[in-house]
Amino acid sequence: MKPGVGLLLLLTSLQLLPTVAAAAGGDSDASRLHEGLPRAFVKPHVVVYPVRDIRALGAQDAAAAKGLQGEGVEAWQAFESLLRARENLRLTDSRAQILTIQRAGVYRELLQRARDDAAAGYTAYQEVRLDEAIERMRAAEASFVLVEHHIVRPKEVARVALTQGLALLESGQDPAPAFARALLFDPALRLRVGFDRAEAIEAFESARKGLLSGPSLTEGLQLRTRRPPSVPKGAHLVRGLVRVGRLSVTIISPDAIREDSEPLDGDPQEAASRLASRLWCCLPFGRFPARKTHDRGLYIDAGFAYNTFYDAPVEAFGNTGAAANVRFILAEGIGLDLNASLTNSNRDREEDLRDSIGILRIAAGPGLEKRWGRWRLMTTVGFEYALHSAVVTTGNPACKLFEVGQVPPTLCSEEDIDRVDGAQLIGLHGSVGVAVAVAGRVYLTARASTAKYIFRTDDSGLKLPFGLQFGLGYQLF
Amino acid sequence: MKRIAHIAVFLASLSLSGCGAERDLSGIWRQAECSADGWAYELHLGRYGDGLTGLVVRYRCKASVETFAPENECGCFLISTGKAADDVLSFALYRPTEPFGPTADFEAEDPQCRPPPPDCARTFILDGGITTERLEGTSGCTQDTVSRLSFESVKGKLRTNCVAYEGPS
Repeated sequence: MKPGVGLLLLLTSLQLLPTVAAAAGGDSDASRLHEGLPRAFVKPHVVVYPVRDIRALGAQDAAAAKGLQGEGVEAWQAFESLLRARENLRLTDSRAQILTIQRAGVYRELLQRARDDAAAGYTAYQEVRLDEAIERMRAAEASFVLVEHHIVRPKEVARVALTQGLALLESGQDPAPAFARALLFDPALRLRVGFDRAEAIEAFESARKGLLSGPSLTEGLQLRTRRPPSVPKGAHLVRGLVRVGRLSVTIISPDAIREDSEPLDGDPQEAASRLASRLWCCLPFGRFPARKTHDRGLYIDAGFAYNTFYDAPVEAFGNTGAAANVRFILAEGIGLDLNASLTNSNRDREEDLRDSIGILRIAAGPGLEKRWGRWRLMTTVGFEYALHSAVVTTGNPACKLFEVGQVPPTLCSEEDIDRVDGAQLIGLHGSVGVAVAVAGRVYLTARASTAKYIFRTDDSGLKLPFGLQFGLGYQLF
Repeated sequence: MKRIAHIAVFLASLSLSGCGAERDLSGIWRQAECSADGWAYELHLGRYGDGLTGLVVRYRCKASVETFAPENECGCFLISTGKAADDVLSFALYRPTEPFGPTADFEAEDPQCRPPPPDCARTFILDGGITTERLEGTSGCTQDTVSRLSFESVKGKLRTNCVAYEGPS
């Protein structure tokens, strides 16, 4: 290859490179977000629970616990805001989730039951009916947790668990699990020196330290616990945890659990942004609405045809023969029809028709179609071309039995016979029909049609045909 | 009212065949017994609603079934003024004084039928509703000469040839 040609190719490819890159980049999630999402875009549902801030667990006392505010919560709030800003997600943030929990059908009923149990438990504890107090508090806590009231009012549930622990302690049983649960509900919860019994304070602190050092903290936090009842099936559950110097997030999806964390040693906004970006990539982007694929199809059927005429020069008579129909489905519910029938007349009641009439009807036009399972309802409006053979009639009985010339003219002559030569007719056509699939692509069909002729080459007196067709069809594709 | 009747007929015509009562009593009918005047008639009737047409073939009575043999034909007459009302048929003979033949040169076996003798202005009034497969009624030239007749249905192809008789060639 000559150098000049090679240089030309190189320059050309360099020119095209940005275009190619842009075209490739156009498929990224970020670019799709930037372009905007259609209204019918199916967004993944993400439910964010209120963040668990357990930094207070490590505080020596309540005052120290209260002082632990700031970057962790600020980072979480920033994290939620960043997720909310991602337009491809359908976000239920923590506030909305609390409202969802409170709107659950059984929430009010079980909440009242739990509070009744708790009130009875407090009374029993004060009256030193310890067994009853323990049972009541256990029942109250179970009801609170069942309706996720520990998410809505964690301090209220923590106090129930604490009281249960105190009752257990005074009755000689191990209070540690109850105290641990109370601290998990409210990490800042502390017994008061000089107010609460020293033995209780000691047991409580022991439970707190045990939480900090042992595996029970992770188990107790239940970060990886799968879906509570208030989270819809298919949604992605996001739980956050603020520890000392770290923000952790767990995403529980239908098919996976993902965890990530970010240190909180710098700007909480930046920490939240980094964490949100990484976790956003782990969530499904969503999907564009599936394009409706209409049933393009070609249906062909043939069978028996029957025609009659509302207006005729003799009494009403039938015409029987065959018919065929082709329907091409262009788009969902819309098709093009081509119909043809060829019939021969039957006798009229008094046999005034002397020759049978051959009738050809050809109609074409657009049609609508509606489906219900195996059934299709069809309508067609279009144009019809008809060809009628000669119409020969007589009212003279002698001319019905004898041929002209076979008997004297006084009995039957040409004047007694009316003849109209064959005619071509054009007019408007309408039909309705129904089809039912009977086996695979095979279907039975029935169709009724009529026509209003606008133009005719001769007036045979046959007007307003009414036709019936019954046939067997096959869906080619 | 006319429109309703038209619609009713229109819907009724959805039947595939045009057959009905309007064709009743059409066919071939043979006189069951010879008349006193020595003649036996065979009717070829075509009924179309209220109209009646056809022809009447006259035979010289014989003592055997050969009465209705083709060579025994002694004149055929076209039907005129034929009418049908329910099961009652009435008709007259067209030009009864000039009997026709199956062909213009038909030669009857009986020499007295060459040519066939004329008939009177005969009329028939027959009722097909009295008994099945029979037409019962009267025939006569005047009110005074009415005689009772009975016809039986016979299978066969309806005859339509009854032409002016010119004599044997």
